[in-house]
Amino acid sequence: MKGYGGQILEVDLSEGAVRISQTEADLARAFLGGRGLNIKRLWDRLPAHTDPLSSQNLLVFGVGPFTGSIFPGGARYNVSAMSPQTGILGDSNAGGFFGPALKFAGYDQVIISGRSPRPVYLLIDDDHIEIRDARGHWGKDTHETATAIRQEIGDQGFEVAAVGQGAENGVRFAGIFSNLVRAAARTGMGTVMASKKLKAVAARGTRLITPADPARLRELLDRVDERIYRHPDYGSRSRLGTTRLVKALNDIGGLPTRHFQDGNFEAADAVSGEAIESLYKVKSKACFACTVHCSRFLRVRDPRFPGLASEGPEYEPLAGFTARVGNSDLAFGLKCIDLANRYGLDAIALSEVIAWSMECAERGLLKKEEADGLDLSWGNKETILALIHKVARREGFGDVLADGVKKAAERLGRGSEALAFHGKGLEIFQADVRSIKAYGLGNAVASRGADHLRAEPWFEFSNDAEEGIRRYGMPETAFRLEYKGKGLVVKHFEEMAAVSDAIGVCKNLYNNMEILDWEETAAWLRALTGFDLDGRDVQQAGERIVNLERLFIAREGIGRKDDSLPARFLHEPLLAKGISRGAVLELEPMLDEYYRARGWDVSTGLPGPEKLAELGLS
Amino acid sequence: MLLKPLRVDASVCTGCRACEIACVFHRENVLGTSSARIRIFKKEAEGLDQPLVCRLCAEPSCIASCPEGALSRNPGLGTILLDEARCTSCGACFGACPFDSFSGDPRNGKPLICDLCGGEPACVFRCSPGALQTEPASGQRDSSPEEGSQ
Repeated sequence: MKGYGGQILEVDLSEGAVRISQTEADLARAFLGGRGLNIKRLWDRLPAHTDPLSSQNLLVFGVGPFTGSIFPGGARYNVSAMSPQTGILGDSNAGGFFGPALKFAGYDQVIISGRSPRPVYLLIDDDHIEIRDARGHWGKDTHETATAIRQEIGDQGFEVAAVGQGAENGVRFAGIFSNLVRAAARTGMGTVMASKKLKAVAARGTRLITPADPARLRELLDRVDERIYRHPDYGSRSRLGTTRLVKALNDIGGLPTRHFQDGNFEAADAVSGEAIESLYKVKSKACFACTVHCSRFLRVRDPRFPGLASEGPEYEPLAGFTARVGNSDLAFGLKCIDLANRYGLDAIALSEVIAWSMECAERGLLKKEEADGLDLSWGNKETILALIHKVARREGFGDVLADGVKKAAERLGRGSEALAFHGKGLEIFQADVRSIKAYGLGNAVASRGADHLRAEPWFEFSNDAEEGIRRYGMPETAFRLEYKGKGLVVKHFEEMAAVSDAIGVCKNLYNNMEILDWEETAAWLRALTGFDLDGRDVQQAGERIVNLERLFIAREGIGRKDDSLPARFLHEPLLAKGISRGAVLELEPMLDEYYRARGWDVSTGLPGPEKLAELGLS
Repeated sequence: MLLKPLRVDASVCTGCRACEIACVFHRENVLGTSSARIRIFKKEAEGLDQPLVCRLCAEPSCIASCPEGALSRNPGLGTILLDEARCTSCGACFGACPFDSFSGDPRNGKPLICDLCGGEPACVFRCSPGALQTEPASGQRDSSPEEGSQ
């Protein structure tokens, strides 16, 4: 197979058995790879209601035809399983260098089944696969694990994806981390990995992937380079990456301040990406072959945090440990992020359970004694630090929070459930959806629970009414405070996100900068794989992935009734400066429009037989 | 015209390794990094990203170390030439290079030494932060693609 790794690796940890087979070309063509091939595998092999922490669950790593190609941002891998946090689709995606390592080792997908009797790590060295004893590594954080395993193997050229103590202790929102900070963090994929007693996967590949048409690839690459360097966002993204969103969202009243009680944060400037740049940035950093280099290495010289230095942060953890919990101390926020990365925890979930606790305390729903005597005032640093450690170790009140905000609120009761900001059990991100309504709709319908990356519908920031009419027939689509037309926008961007995750490229380039449209994506796929695909085929692959994921979660009982968001966003007017003030999320009409756009039943929110047949999913 | 070695500025290297895949793609029309003639040495926890590539030593230790005389200097360009037929993959040259600037081809164990692509290095073209630059004879530095667009 051109352009692909060409092989599927299956590892049964119960039997200690390894099997390598050929990647199915017809499936690669229909689902592209990565997240697409992953959901196909889960759909085919997992029975309904599989217990996520049982040995029956599968943990699937997938890369796409663009992973480890020369496409800038072609660095990504996708991890999928039944989620122990939500009970529905678990799915997470990360950058860095681990994805290309799997690709160069010759694998498009690694399927891990069963459960090892003892802690192990998986060694992938081209064709040579070993299940190695990891008892000496159990208990280490994600950074220590990667260092120790590279040392043990004796080769720094191995990329290591590892879980930390959080996963080992069964925190339901533990992730898988590589290159220190590249996190497949959401939905508890690390928790699944640790439940199988799999501490890490170490991969190195020396293969050279043959593209179908290298000359054409060169032409396409020249065009893409031009598009990227000339893009109006290139300057801010290459300097600040997503950290620029602290100021940008404060400007529109969209920050999650003190658990979404205020869309502005008085200390926004102090905790902004610009502040990081001027105080702590050493240089820019990038994922494999990416020319945007939106990340950075930072070094914090603060006597409270000796030696604090790392790549990162992304916007989500930055806002999570500052605005969301009412903390205005930037260095302290960075320390929290570092701890979350080392423990291997989803920073979004972690920031939400802390912020939820603080708001519950503020409203008299949670007593100090019930929270181990901690002072839950906004921004209390001792408390925030203590809670991070307690959650990771499942100690005291941390044991309640470690199940995620939905279950924590069910346990506490007293109406705290209304303050648990999640969708389908997954904690909502760090932006107030009352100020960005397509993102609101996207969160409500996302297949893995409340999530912005299933859609990432940036177009509503464009304010370009003509373009809105040209694309979707409706000018409102270009304005974030309008709700009309957003069903069409979300449908389109969901398919882009699905394709992005399937082919293995970064959504900053694919969704936000729109570097490739459907036709250009098809041109790249033809040049890489030789598959005879056009733009319509690519769009349809995206639609197919979205529909199959919908079937998968529908099998677990999900439907329109679950496509919802917390009452604050639907009914409480947003407190913010400027034009976002007073906004609420008009979810119901957006849902109607979205289901219609998708060709799904408006009352159930589910695809019918004609739509499934059209996509070859019957 | 004798070529000058690449100017390497590790302080701006983002560690992306686009140079590695560009090297392989340019020379062999395939996608990978294992046969690259430039490599990025990393210490992730310290933020170190160090490009390792042939420094075009005035008196190359690699040439001196080869028991078969398989390494020599390209008389026109000054870059290191490998006579594949003479090379026995003994590995003496790897340890001899004081800069650890090249590794072995995993397919045959032979040294992968940068030859600056004959004067227009593919890696320099690809390097977006400008960590890799050529030094033309006049001493003027070529700009990176990113600098050119600003």
